[in-house]
Amino acid sequence: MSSQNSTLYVADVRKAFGRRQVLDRVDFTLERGELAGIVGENGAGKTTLLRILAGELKPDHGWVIPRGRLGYCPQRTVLNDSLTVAQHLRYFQRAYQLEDLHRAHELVERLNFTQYRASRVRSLSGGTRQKLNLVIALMHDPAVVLLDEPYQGFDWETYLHFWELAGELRDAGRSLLVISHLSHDIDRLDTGYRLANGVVTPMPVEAHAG
Amino acid sequence: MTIGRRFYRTATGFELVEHARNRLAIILVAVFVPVWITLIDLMMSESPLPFRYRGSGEELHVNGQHLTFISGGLNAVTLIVGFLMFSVTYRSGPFDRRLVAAGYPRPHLLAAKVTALFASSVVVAAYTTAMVWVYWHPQQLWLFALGMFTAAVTYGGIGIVLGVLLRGELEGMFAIIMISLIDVGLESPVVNAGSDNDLVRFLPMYGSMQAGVGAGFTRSVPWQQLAAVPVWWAVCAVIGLVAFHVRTRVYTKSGRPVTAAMAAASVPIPRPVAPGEAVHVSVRVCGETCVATDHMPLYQGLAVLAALSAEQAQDHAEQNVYPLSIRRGAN
Repeated sequence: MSSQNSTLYVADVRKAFGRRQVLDRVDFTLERGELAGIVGENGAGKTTLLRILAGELKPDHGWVIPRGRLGYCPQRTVLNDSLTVAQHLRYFQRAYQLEDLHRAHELVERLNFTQYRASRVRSLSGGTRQKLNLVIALMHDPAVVLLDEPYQGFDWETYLHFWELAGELRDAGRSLLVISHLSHDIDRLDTGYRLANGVVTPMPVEAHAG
Repeated sequence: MTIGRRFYRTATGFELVEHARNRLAIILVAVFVPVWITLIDLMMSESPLPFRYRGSGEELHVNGQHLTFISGGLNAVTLIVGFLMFSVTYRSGPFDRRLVAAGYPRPHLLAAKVTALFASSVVVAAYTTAMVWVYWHPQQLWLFALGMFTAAVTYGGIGIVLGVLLRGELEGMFAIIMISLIDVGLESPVVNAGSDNDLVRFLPMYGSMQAGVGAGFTRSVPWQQLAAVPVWWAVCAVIGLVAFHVRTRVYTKSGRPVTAAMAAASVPIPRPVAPGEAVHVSVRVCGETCVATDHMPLYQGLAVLAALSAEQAQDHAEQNVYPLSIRRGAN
């Protein structure tokens, strides 16, 4: 359960909304250089779990212990419609206290939306908004990356770019936890978990190529 | 420049950009204010109306059109700044939390929001005063502008509270319009012949209306009445502050980055051998240390032990972990 390489410990996390027990004893550990995923049906509590891990929600019980900085990409894009892409990057540069925006610009280039740097978020398509949402979660090179269906609205090519990027981060020793309702994503993971009935259980994963 | 000042400057800059890009507020400023003031000039009767001016306690008989310039101006600034602040507050909740979770200090973010509110209030009040000046010259222009500014700031505060409480933009717009209309309506003798009623003192626009009348028709300043303005503003500010605090709370703090030296110095983490075995660890919770020495369940003990980073584990020192809650006797 624990090792010197662990970057995120989740132990006995429980959460109920009213009388509905959404999470009931969730335990798992994320290691350095691990690309893990949680799949589950709609309403299984995946987003609730990720919001707890990111610190947005308080669980009724349990422990969440991150080691290193967190990067969190929420399912619904959390951006400011009045600001441009570049202004978002500068705002979060200040928040993360980054020296420069090299990494952020590199990610913008990788995800192929450099041409929108001066555009206000209000005028962007859903897919481009999601790309910016993702860049904000990754621009400070976090040790633990929590991604809640981060590729919604991506076209096929960008979707593939995303998994390529996830693989690179994993190879660089970052820990990634991706939430998905698509079971075909499971083959891209090192570790897969299924969230059902409030409990997280490991599920078999085919060995990935990378 | 200190890091704190940088945080404040960046946030203030972007808050101001957000205000300046609020399309509806800009349209209201550009169209509604001049049209409204011009219509008052064209259509309002100049017949005298009684107004209880509490700065001196006397009943003034003032030009009805000029009085409507005051109430109309107040109506305009309160609608614009009230809506602007409602809209900014309503939309920015999740974004503010994301900034705070990323490390933005809340006091600087909050100070930036207050600065932007005051800046917008100054601009809208000055603009409305200038528009009125085209048609009518109040006796004390600075006091007239101050009346407009205080009303703007008060309704900015009300806008923040509504932004926190209401669930839809239409509801917010409607609420701001209704509150402003009722407020002006009850205070102005144009609408309410009983506007000298003592209860008007408790309305949000009371001090501003008194200042407007003092500015328009007297050489005195109703300081006592103006003093009610900060009370209204403070009440709204406290509600806004609490709501901001609750909405931007982040429960899991990010630990320190794992450095290469820390990784190299890692040691195996001891495990208890049996479920229910006592685990003695000190747990630092939000700066205060509490000691969990009772029979913690094994999985909790493991979670705590697992979190001991290498250099702290060696001397069994207290550890910065973030237990989200401890339910004793759960198992």
